[in-house]
Amino acid sequence: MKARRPAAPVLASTAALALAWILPSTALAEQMPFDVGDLAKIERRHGGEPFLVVLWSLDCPPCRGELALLGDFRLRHPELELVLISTDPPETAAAAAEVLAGHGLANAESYGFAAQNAERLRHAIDPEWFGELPRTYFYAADGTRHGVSGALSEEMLREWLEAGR
Amino acid sequence: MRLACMRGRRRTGHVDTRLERLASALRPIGMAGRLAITIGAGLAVGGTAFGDDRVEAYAAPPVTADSISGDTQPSTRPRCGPDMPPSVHCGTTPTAAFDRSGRLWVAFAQRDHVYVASSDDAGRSFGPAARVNAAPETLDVNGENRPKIAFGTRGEIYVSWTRKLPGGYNGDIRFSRSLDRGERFEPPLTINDDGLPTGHRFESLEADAAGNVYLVWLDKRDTHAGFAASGGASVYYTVSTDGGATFAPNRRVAAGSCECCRIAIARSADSVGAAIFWRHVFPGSIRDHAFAVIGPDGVLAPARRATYDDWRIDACPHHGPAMSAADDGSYELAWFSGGGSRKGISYGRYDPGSGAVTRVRTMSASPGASHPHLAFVAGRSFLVWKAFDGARTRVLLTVTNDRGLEWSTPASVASTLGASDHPFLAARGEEVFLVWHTEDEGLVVVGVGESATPWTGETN
Repeated sequence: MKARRPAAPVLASTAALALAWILPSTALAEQMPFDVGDLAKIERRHGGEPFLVVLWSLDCPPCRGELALLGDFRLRHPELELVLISTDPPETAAAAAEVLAGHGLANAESYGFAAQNAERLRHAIDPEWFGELPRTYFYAADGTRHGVSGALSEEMLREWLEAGR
Repeated sequence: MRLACMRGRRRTGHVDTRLERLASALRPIGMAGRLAITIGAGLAVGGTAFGDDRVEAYAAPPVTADSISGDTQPSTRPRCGPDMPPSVHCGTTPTAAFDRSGRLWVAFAQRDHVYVASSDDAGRSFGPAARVNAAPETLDVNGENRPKIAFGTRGEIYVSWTRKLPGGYNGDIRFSRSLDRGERFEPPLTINDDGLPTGHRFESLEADAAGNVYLVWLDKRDTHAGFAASGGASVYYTVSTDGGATFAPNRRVAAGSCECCRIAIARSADSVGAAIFWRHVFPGSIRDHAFAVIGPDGVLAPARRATYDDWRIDACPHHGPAMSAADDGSYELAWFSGGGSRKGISYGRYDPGSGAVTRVRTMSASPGASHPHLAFVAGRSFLVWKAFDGARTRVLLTVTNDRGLEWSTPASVASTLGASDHPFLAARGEEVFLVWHTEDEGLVVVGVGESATPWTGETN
């Protein structure tokens, strides 16, 4: 219920990211609000390297398995560039942060849907996506991406990482 | 709570309350979905679009055609804040149904209570809301999981909802009834009888022609007990044969359902039992749908597969189906699939005798098409769904007069710029109404009973 609404999202995002890297992985990281223009910012920030954008929500049981996999995989592959976006409303940001921390993802770059009009945000991410979760976008170094619905496997992650090297 | 909080926070006047009349939408296929409709026509739909008397408690200014004809007119909806009295507009997840006398009843959630309000003018104005649960409890409400309302044969009003419990997906199914036409509601009962702190959620409620009351829900007790093969949920139900005073022991209908999609439930006009239709997980993680009929003494027709899209996915669609009983023993179905052989919103007719599903058709494969609802009324099927085009969310309607052979050109019957709930249809006799809760307009009830042009459907 205490989702922060920074007036200057870019500054706040940067600050939160810096803070997240300092915090130990058990601490709760603040989720940054994800609004319509934020995917472009994420793409700019991570451009030039392969990275993953993973959408999930609190009320999606298969997402928990996905987060567990990602948390575990990141321990062994710290080079994985990962961006997490929860589609939950701002009121549940604290609960979402808790779930991430439980999977060792407290220091991951993490966003939560900022507006109540989830349709608008989903459309901004991908008009072809119907909203099923988890949903992952594999970004290549050249900025192209492909979307996958449903839980990932470790093999998919490993193959993608190796292909991007 | 979500919409209420939001409305309290930002109401900056970018509200377009355009409603489009289906009769105005008799247009070639190529124009389907475009908005070239006058507001005057929208208001003329049985006077059910936006009447100023609906919001009299808030002293809202009168709504005129002029005042809502543009895209940037100020809102005339009540300003909903945390301290506002309960209202169908400021609450969330309203579910509406007409009783046999033609009164519209709405169950909705606001903060920690479920409320019921009713309207004798098809949603133009509502009486004061009655509180259902006297003691506050955390409600588990979202588009797929919302309070429900149904009516008994002796004037009983039944309400159900899910109470959220600590832990990720835990909840209890709650039920209350009113025996004095909605003045007072009895203390709620907890319907799940396993005593386990696990998931009992996504309940649906219906009463059959004999007065039996059915509650059916998604239940995690089998997973909790460690013997469910799939790790998904099970479908459980119970029934009351004494007008909601007591309920039979919980019974399992099927194991291996999807975990967070609403269950469609339908009663036929004159028979005992209730049909249910839900998203099931078939071998290979295929999330298609199953159908069953539940009765007062047990399952009347066991679960059978009813849709065959082969959507193979280990994900949460958050996208349950819809169903309405036809007058020939068949059931009209509408559902969403995100992949496999069929993508988007589909329609089909299910024959419980043979298990065959016929006249299957993709009604919309457009990205953003979602959450279908349908109603079979006097030989015709009305089907609505939501469509988002990047700016505006519309509710599209199509009608068949011949049980799914031909459909009318989908026409926009309402649209909004802000966030919106799932669309629903409710019938009063032979009249059909769209019931739609939006961030900007509150609870919208629009008559949609006009006939329309034939349509051959999107390419499958």
